[in-house]
Amino acid sequence: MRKRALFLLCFVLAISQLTAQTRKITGKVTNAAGVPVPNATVLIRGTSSGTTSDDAGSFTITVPAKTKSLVISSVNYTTMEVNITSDNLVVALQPGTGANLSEIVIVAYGSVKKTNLTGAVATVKGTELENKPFSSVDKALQGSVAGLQSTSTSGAPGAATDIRIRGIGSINASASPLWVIDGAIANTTDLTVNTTTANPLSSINPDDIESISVLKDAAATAVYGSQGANGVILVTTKKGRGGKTRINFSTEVGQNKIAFKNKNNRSLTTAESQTVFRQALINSGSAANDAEADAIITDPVNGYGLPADYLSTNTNWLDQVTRKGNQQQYNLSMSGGNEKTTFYASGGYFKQDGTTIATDFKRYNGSLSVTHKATDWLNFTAGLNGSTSAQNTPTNGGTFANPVLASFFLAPWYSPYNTDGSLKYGDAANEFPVGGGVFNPLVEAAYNKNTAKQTTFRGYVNAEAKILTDLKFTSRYSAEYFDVSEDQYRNPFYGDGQAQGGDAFSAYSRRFDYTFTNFLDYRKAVNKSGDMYFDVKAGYEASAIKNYQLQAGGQAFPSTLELQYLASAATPTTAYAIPTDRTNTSIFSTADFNYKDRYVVTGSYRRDGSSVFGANHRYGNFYSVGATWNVSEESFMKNVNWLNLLKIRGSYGLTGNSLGFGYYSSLATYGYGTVNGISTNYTGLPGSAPNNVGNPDLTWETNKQFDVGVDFGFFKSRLYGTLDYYDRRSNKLLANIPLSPTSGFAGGQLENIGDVDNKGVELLIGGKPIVTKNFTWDVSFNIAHNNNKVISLYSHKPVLSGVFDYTEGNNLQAYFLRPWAGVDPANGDPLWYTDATHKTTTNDITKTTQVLDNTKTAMPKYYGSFTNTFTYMGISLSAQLFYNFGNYAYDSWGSYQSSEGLYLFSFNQLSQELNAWQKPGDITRIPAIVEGGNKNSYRTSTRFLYKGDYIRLRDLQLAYTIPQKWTKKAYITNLNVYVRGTNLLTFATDKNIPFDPETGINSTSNLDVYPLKSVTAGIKIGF
Amino acid sequence: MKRIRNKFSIAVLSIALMMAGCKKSYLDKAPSDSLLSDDALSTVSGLQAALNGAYSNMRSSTLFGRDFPVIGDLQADNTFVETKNSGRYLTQYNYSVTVNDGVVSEMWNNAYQTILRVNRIIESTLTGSDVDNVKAQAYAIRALLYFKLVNIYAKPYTDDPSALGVPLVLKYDPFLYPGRSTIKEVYTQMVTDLTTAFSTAPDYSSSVVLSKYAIEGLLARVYFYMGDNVNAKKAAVDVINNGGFKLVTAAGYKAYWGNPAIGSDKLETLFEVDADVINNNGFDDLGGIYNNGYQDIYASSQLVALYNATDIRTSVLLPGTTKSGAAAVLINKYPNAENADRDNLKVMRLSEVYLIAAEASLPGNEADGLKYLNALVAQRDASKVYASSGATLLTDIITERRKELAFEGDRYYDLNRLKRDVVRVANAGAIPAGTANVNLTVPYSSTKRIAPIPQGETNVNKNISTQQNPGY
Repeated sequence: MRKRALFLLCFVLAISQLTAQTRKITGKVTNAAGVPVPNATVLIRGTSSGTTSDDAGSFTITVPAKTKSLVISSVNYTTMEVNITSDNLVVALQPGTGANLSEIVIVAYGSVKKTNLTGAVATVKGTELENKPFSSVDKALQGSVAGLQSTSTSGAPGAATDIRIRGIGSINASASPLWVIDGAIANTTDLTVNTTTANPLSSINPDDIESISVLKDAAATAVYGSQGANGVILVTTKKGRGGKTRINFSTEVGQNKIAFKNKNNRSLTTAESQTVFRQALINSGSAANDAEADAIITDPVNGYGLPADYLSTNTNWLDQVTRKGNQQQYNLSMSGGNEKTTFYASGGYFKQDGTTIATDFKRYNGSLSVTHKATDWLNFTAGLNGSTSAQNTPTNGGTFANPVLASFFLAPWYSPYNTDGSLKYGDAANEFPVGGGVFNPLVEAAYNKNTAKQTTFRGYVNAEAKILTDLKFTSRYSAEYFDVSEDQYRNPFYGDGQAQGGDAFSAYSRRFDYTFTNFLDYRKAVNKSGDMYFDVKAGYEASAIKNYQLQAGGQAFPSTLELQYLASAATPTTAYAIPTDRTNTSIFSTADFNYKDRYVVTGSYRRDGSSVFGANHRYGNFYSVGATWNVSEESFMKNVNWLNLLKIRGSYGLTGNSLGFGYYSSLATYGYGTVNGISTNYTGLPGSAPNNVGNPDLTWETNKQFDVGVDFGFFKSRLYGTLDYYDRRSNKLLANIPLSPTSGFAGGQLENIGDVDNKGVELLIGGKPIVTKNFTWDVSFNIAHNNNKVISLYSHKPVLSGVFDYTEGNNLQAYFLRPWAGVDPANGDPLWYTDATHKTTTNDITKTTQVLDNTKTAMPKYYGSFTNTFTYMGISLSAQLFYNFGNYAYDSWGSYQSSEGLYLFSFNQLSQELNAWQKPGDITRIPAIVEGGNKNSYRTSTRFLYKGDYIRLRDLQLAYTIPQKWTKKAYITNLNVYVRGTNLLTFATDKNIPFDPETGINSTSNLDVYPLKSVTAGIKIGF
Repeated sequence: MKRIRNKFSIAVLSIALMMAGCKKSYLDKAPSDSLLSDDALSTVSGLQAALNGAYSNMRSSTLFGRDFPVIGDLQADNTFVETKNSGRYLTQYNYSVTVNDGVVSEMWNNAYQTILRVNRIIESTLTGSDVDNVKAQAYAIRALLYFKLVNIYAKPYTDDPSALGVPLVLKYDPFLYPGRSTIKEVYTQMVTDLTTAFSTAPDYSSSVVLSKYAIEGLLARVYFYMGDNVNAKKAAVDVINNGGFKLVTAAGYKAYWGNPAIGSDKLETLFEVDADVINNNGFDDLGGIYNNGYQDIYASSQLVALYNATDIRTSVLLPGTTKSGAAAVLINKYPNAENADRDNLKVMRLSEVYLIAAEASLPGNEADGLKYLNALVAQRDASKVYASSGATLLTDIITERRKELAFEGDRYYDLNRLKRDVVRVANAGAIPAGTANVNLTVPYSSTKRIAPIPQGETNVNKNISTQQNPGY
């Protein structure tokens, strides 16, 4: 009976739909000066359905016949309500706005008007991402969102970038946010196995991105359940627009250099080395004066055996391993279609040569997206995005083949070339012996290869059916395919490959993953005027990741540099293939209730099951609640003219983290073949060994987050801003519980123990101090402060992790080092404090101990950006400063580079050694230099911490849009030229820091490829 | 009408799709390179694979692959580190080891990891002669590792058997936090393990498998270190007389050390750990620390002076210079560090059994002492025949041990077992450079003569945290 009633209801509704009349409106959005405004939102008043303007400012929209007006909005312009007076509208937007109140924001499983958000969501427009000289979009997010930290450890083109949203909420699992591209959960795990740094996100051309939403609190992320704890970044790619087919072309070329060099702390020259050698030998008593010291330096038997004429060579190794790198990109896109079908197609080429030798990245990409309106109740969208990239990256850290290590460690009296100009190795003077030592980086770069090639496809099919007027069904299947092949070749003549007669290693990694989502969306008004309504979504999602990896290695290569692949290896050494996979299933639901846009209450729920967890704890429940009060919508506020927006929102929720877990960590297993990196095979027969203790109780980490925020706009949003406070408590953190090494499991056991808290404040303030008809000045400033604290750990014991010692009550990244007390002015001895009280000093390293110092952490206290944009007619000048304050950066190789004599003749030293103590009374930070080292002064201590504060001119752009009246004749609708500088200036407050102050999440330098600054010039043409 | 049906079919289809994914098995995943532990050990071939995993772990550069043999000479007076070095083993050489020393903790961790691997075999409930064969080797490996552990981390048995040894872990329990057993308990366990192993051990098949007489050789060594000369000699003589092994001759000496292949002819090697083209330590191969690689460590002038020019053992000593240019003697006992097939790692040779038999004959039976000593020396230096007696004979045997087993990690434990001082003379080109390069004596009484219990253990294991060795 009920079924029949429903049937009848549907029938009636369908009839009413059939009889509905529509009307097609076209139009053009411009600014006050008549320049087209692209990407303006065009909405049917009172609804969230609509379109956006294209690059020429044009739009086409089909509206119900009874529609009276459209609402048109865009960033930087006042939102306008336009009455439909004809089928062809021209809308001139007025400047003077800041925040865009009716802007639509993409959120999980849908979109919402910005003022109705209950969660903390920040958006980044595609226009802020395009034409930047970065190989991946995550690098462009630095400074763009308050509370989003984006930092790289390596400056290599194509390198990975670390992103943290609202601090670090995980210790051993992933602390990175979830990326969702066009509704599909994207994989950002690096698939390479033999590449120092790589980035799956470099497969996306930032030019194809329409917008990015950064979901920061539980109200926004809880519907992603067990993957939402670290925040979510939603990427929406460009879609087609109907009307005239439009073509856009852009190109830019530029050049890169090292972003940061410190004149105060570089490598020593040969002459300076001599000064230091003499001091060392005299201070140790080996020599009485400079002449005797010089004799010892060159004495091959009882001295150090430097060539007699060593002073005649002075190689600047930094110059040898770095260069000016070229950079270029070309992008072409096409968009068009008709009422029923629209498309967007694009192609691009990007190439960047790093400033360090043997580093480069290039990418070809293409994308196609098609939207088809099959009927007035059924929509299809399908998209495919493909790219192929190739990257060359050297090793980092302490490997002999690392060119950055070479730049610091190689003796300046060595030379990379023989006198005949050929590359030097195996020389009689043993500068570059074939067997060992820091290699000649030029030979490594010229003779060896370390390439990673990645091919990526992302595709999706989305169907939306309006089953009833209020009920919509969405089904979406999306998939990603990655194919990464790496080839390493090390020549048989010199370097790492020499001992094996040359060797090669190839790896092929494939990943296929899919997300299949089905959900119903029921939106129903509960009053007559339709401004009180609820919106409920419920659905099901299944996802899987399937990986496959193949590795092969071989050695003994022919004596040539021409044959570099395994096909030419005489002796195979490695053969390895393995599939791995994980699966997730979920049911989810969201519910919103809205009263006159004044009060909005939201809730979300998700139940997740994941294959990576223990049999006892495979499923988990996650939820959030949120509410917003738009004070400025209240009738009593209508007369307050100076305040146009005041919104208070709050949310609380529980999310989970299952990212970064091993797929099979819960199982007690025996591994075959290679276990913990070491072969168990013996005499060519298979071996096995326990590789996992197993924990059937293993489950996700959880996050309980509270957020309260206020959004405000004054003077018609000439001044606007957002302030958020959050308290994010991460529980059940994956921890490695130490077992007694006598158990044979020195690596310990994974359990869910530990809590970390992140509390913080984020502030965004923007405005337009000056707005005239032809001139505007835009200012935007954001700042984030996060306070991280370890709440509890396994048996309340600190966990040592490199230079950190995770300790309850302290910042997770507080340094745990010997407290350096400077240099004794009386005798030049190194001094340490004996303990945390800093009362007593000692020159005996055994009398000091490592101390946890919560005031010195690797986590910045404040970071954000300050952006100014000046626009005059078609000319715009914008500058973004990125700043980062309050952290300390650790020089993990300082022990070698400032060793006061210990590594004097082995590794070159930093120029700060020239400031060493010389005579009683000298006040200096460098102890006396003594042959063989000065009382362990080189040992790790806080002396190798540098202040990590810096301000960087992240972006400086001068652009000119050539007036349409000049370009029209050439059928050009839009012509824009620009010059851009990236990382042009870097100011570090610590004048001694020897490396670029951007050192990744752990603020630790590891002799990575130098970060770069670039100057690019480009042109954008639209037809 | 038709359209409505379409819409319903979509709704029905969607619900069906939702249900389709709900199968429980969708979330059951297992790795493709590992088996659940119980399945892995459920067959004899599974046990054999687990045994291979234990053998191969001994190849690690942290165990017999480098650390064990290197420190046994370097901490004594057989070798030195040159000034231009790669930073390895410096703390061992200059007696500045601390509780967080890398070598000290990696030896501990990996020795116990190997013990875990054999314990799980020993605990198997499978039966049959094949199983017994596998278990015998597992017992022998366990004894071999406890022998190294107790000699590195505890005082010699000859000093005080009731002093603290090392923790005895004899069963699989990852949540066990054992304290240290006494030295005597550890030695008693080794004797039990080796005796059990000997009774069911496989006959000799190759040099890289622990066969019956290799195990008896290890038993002789254990008794010998306990000062139980009667049992030591009995076992040693049984190996010599009944094992069927023969000493490598002077003529074959150089070829023997140059050969990286597995032996099957019962020549000299009772047991060695296999290292081959694929499974080896790469740059961290034992030979590379001496020659053909890092080349950090050289033969001491004291040791070199002990050999006559006619001694065939000088054929593996290469006069040359350090990388810094000082005249020095390079060690070439493991010449295959840069070749495809790497040197196998000698654990027990027949020559050592002769030396045990000789020394264990004293003080009661000097004739036997001379017999076994001269039998070996005849194959090394034809010009030399010992006829000494009393204390001189003991000294001669100790000296021949030093010469024969040099660079095999024996010397330091001889000095410990005999409670003698380490007496070094300065070597040209050694660290520390310059005027600090002087003679050095480390008395037997020095607390630095034994390694500390690693900090990684004392931090985690409260039962051992109060049992640290004095001086650390």
